[in-house]
Amino acid sequence: MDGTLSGLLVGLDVALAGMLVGFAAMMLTTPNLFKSIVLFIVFGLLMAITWARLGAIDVAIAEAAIGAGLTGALFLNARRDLETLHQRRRGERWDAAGTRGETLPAEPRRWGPWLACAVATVPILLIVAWVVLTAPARLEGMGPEAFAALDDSGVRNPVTAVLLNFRAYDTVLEITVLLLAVVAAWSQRVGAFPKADGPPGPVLHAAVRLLTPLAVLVGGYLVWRGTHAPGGAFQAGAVLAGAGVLVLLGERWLPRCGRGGAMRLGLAAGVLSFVVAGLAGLFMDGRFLFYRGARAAGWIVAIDVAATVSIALALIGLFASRPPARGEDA
Amino acid sequence: MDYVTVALALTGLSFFLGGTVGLLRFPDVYMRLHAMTKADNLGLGLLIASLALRSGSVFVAAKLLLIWVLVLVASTTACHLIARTALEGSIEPWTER
Amino acid sequence: MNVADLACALFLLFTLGLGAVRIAMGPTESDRMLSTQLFGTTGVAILLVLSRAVDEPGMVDVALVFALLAVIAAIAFARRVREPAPDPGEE
Repeated sequence: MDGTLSGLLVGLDVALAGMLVGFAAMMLTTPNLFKSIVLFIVFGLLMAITWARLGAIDVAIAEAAIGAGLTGALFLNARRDLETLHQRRRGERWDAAGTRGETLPAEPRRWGPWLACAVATVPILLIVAWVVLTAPARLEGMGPEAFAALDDSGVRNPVTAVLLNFRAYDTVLEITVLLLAVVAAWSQRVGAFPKADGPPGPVLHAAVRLLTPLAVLVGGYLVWRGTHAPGGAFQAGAVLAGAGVLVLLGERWLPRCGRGGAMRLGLAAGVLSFVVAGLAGLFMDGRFLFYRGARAAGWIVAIDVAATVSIALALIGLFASRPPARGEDA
Repeated sequence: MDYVTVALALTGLSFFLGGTVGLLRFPDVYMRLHAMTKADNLGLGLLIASLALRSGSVFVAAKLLLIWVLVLVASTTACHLIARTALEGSIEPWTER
Repeated sequence: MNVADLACALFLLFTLGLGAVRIAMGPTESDRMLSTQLFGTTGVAILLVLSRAVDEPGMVDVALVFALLAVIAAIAFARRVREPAPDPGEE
């Protein structure tokens, strides 16, 4: 029985790894842009399964939400704008659903760059293989120290403890980078969020009405669980962003937010909360972003909630790709 | 594991296979949508029924059922929207014999 | 650890591989998009079955998020494929 079990496990891992590599290869070699986008979405889904199989549940949730769903939507947006541009240049009318095939100019296949990449990759592969094969069976890393300090960190989920307490600097900078990305994206265009061709229809309305509250609920659930089980700000933020994207695509309840002051404040909230917590740590314990013990739990929850709001708004803002127009939606 | 759960799981798996085969073999996007959405949702329901019976906890079973309802709503909407997009993009349904 | 559940997961993964053929072949974009739905539903099934197989209850939450967000790509496809029609005055 045990032989079959480990055999099946190996089979599962080989199948997953093989499919991942296969999809990546297809995605990179196809001249059809839409095909590569779909392959990317599907690759993200497989990646989430792989993370789950490896035991990294927090990463799996984040990958499923951000990598598969949201990035897929972002790519589809971008592709649509590209296609529109190309067709406008050629003076054609938009051809829906690709019945005539792709209109982006397909580049002729050149093998030179591929060969150069393959040759350059071989020594890297050899080094990685050598490192993997000669590494000790169990790498200790900082695991034991982190687990030992877990009680002092204020949460019971080691991943959240590392993200929001032990390595909080990394997370602050990540959220800042996300904010900068939104600023960069928003500076590209202005105007109202473009509506799609044709009315949304009753099915989409019903779906948005059903799914959005559920997504908000799941997002809140993930944030709350982040303290003691897989979950946290990034995952919850991504799910909430999904809800926001649903509302935007459903085009029925476009929230009015004037000049978007509330949204901008929400975007900044994540970084701000980190700064406040950091300064508090500076004044009370002499080190920036240092909190331990009973106080830590409160700070972490506050930062978690603020970061969730920031991440959700940032992802929605990236999808909308334009700042909120006056009197229109966010 | 008793026979009921095994039977449920096996039936669910066969529906999954049927849906995928339909995806590959049917000559038209509408038929593929039809086959894949219905078969996969039913297969998922049967699998979840089997898992829920084995879970031994009402809370876990309820969570599994919630996931199934969610997938139902989501994939039905997606199926409808994709079909509408294809129709409005002038993809003609296959009508040969 | 559970052999039956692992076998189920492996079988479902195999059907996913079959579904990939439709992505490669499918003549229209709708064909490719509907394959993502296949991956979404089957992925949920794989995660739930694996959760029993390796006894990791967190995977059920991954399946929940999966189910919720895999549909957003399809909705984005449906609502963003076409450029809005030009104003009636222009044509």
